[in-house]
Amino acid sequence: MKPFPTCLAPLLFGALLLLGAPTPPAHAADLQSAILKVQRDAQTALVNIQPVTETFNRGEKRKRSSVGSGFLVDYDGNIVTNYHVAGRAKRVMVTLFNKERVEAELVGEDPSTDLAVIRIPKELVTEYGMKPLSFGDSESLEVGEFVMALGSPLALARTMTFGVVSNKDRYLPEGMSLPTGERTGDFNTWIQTDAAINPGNSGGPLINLTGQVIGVNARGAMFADNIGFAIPAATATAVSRDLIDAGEVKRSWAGISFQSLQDWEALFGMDTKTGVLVASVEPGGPAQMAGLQAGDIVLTYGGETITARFDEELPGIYQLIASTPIGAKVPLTVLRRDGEIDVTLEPIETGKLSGDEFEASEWGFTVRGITDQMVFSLELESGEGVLVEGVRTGGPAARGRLRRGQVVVSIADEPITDLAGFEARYEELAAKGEDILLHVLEAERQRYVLVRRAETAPEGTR
Amino acid sequence: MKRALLLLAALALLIPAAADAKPKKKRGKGQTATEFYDAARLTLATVNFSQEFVAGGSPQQTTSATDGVVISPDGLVLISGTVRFPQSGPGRLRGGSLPELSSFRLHFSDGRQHEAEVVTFDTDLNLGLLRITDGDPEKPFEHVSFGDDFEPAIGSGLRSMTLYTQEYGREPVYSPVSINSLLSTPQDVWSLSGAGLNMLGAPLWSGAGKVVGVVAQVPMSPGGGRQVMPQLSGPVGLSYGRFAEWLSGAVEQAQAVAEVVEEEPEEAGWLGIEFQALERPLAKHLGISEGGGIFVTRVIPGSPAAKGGLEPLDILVTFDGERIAVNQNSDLNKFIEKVRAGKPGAVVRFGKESRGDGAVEEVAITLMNSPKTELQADRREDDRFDITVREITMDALLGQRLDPETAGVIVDGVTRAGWAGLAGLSRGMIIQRINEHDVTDLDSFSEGVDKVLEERPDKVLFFVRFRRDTRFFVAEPDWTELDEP
Repeated sequence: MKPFPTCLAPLLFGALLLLGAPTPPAHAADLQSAILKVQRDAQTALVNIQPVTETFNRGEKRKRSSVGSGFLVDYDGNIVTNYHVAGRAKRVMVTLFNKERVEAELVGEDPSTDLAVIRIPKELVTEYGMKPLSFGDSESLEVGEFVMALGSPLALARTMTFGVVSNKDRYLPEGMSLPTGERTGDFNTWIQTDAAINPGNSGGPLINLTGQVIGVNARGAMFADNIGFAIPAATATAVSRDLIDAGEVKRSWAGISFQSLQDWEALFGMDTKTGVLVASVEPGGPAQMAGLQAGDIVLTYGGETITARFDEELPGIYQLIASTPIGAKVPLTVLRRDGEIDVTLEPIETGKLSGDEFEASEWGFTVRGITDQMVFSLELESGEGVLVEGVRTGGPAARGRLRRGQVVVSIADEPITDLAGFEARYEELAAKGEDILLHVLEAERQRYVLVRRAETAPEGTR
Repeated sequence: MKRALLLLAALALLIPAAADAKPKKKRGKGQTATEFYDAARLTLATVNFSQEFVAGGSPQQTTSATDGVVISPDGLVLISGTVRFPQSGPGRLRGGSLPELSSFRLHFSDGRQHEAEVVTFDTDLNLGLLRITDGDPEKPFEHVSFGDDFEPAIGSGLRSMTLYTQEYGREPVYSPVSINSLLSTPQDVWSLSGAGLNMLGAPLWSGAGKVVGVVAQVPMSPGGGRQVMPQLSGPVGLSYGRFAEWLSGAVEQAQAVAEVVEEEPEEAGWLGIEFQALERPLAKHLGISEGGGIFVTRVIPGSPAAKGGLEPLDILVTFDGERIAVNQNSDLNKFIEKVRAGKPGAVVRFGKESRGDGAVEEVAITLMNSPKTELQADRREDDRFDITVREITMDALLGQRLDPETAGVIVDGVTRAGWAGLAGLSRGMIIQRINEHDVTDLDSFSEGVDKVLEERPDKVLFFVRFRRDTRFFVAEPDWTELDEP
């Protein structure tokens, strides 16, 4: 394969794309030159990201630094990476291909897909001659295609590893959560690769032989060799576009979880093989309001037939609901034991998965604001109060036996409704150095907790 | 003297906060290696156990071993939960394939052997707590005590100990290790030099003789999710600060279970409240008269206390005219015993004190008989599906935060390789339907099973609830097994 004049390359890559899998090189030497070409074309887009984030989980605010990867996607300086790399970052430093270190700003983040976009000044893109990478078509991938992972494994910047697509629609089960607690991964299947992916590769591109990004490297399997996972380009394209345009991804939420249908067809005596099984509906959520029940089979959504016979098809169903315009009334046809019924589902806006954090350092604990999604996921009675995120060992709150996961609903007999209210009350009282009475909820229990500022002798010694 | 020391150590364990309350860094005078060896060896045991799991769709059983260390005089044992990791990549990714652990046997270096059972595991920390079930109450166990006054630094020396295998007489092996990196991700984890994979679960002692961490294999978190993440190769040190909160909760849990096991009476007075000791600083702050009391944290709907008008946060100071002399949680037993000694149907009177003004209001409550607990529940076994279920008891409903009207039966035990086990059913799940047959209690469960045994469908559908979630599980019975002689 001869080197292309650079101005023609994008067009030609586009043409290849339409044909499906890239044409394989005829000889090993061709493969070598293809890999080298990808590396040369991609190298200026690759960045090493060093975010400083804050954690609150031990009852105090701590700074945390880590290393991840990212890649330039346009001439405006936008860089795609993982949420678990740059999300919630206080400061993001980026090392470019030419080893220059610059500061980047956070453009937007999306924990649900574990993606984030940061931006470097666009003048630098021109000045250093950086060439953005473009996304390829992850839908038409084939197992066995050669791929390269670029990034900073174990902080070893500008590392390339090589392998194949091991599986193109790997389903990882529900319920995965990020270190920061948000649920993630519901909306896509994953590209599995044996190109080595290690900590620090996160956010880096998975590139095919035509130089296009087909996935964003995000995970590796524990106790395994070369089982890595990338978020497909289809997901990354849509999410990064929303983040760049609007700074956020808005989704609709129905409070429903599904199971695939395969095993149930016989039981329900179904003669068609379409639909998806409702496994659970969130009490008080839109699906329950619409009258849906566990055991229902949803046959159509907004007039379209939907099907998940296999687990791999479930993320598509969740994505379909998520992409429903907020406030829309969606007609559903549902198969129940006694026949077909019609219901109308009104998904609501998902909103933030989790609230902001605050350190009440004088009292020795940290709290998090409660969002609507947290009310559901943590089975809280309401959104009133603030959630205890961590309690500092040996601190004033620990002496009063405050526990992580409790909800503070009043401070010194004044009700606290939200994080702003908590912060205001804290600022008012913290400097006084007095013991503070908290009223806390813990599931169905209510407790008093006395935040003991004054050094008092241990129990039983007086 | 020795008793007093044991007690102190136990206190330090229960109140991890205590050590930190002193602002000055306390340095013990330090132990020699020999002193350390002599003190530590009796606290350490090899823990053998068997584990059943499903890998690649087929059930497997293996036996395995890890290190455990005794942490209390009554025989609580901390082990590395690494043993609880699923055994294969695909199994892990599919979820739900954590091994079922059983038959724990502890071997000490002096030849003692004990049986133990699981109190709890934490999959984030990869730690577990066991309880020795055949200890002698007259002979407290030698045990370690924890300290969090250790300030880790690069190069800090720690001591560890593990036991050789049976072939080498289970002799203790002393290993000096040192901290070679303080990781920020995950926090409070140290990378160690001198620690091998054979030392998983072994404690790390400071020079002052306190356990300040354990050797563990901890998932690195930059990869994201709890389920799938890259691994830091080799063992690391998990600092006590990282797991202190979990451990104190686990110890409380162990003690709560121990109390339940001891009570067996047919009839016992029941109020239907949960409560906490009114500790002195709190009492003083609330303006409650001196002398002790309890405060109500929860009132169970429909219970005697609810009917009597008690509410959460009520403060009770007298019981049938006598002061409730409870000033700390360890005093609670006296109060509990007195309630339980009451006859169902008897009227008891509490003095409820309001905050600040000292006014005491009398509340009369008619006791009911204590509801059945999980341990007293009736059970039913089915050896075709290899499952044992029990009736739903109030403690289970409260534990899963379910509506009191919730119907069904609770999975009490299941053989991994049995029909129900392969379907994915596991302990604690509430079965509410078998195929089209509603399951409300043990009898309707048996009817449902009988019905499918008669019809022999290819697939048997279980509709199951756990907490607020529901899910379907499918069993694919091999009916030919029933026709075998």
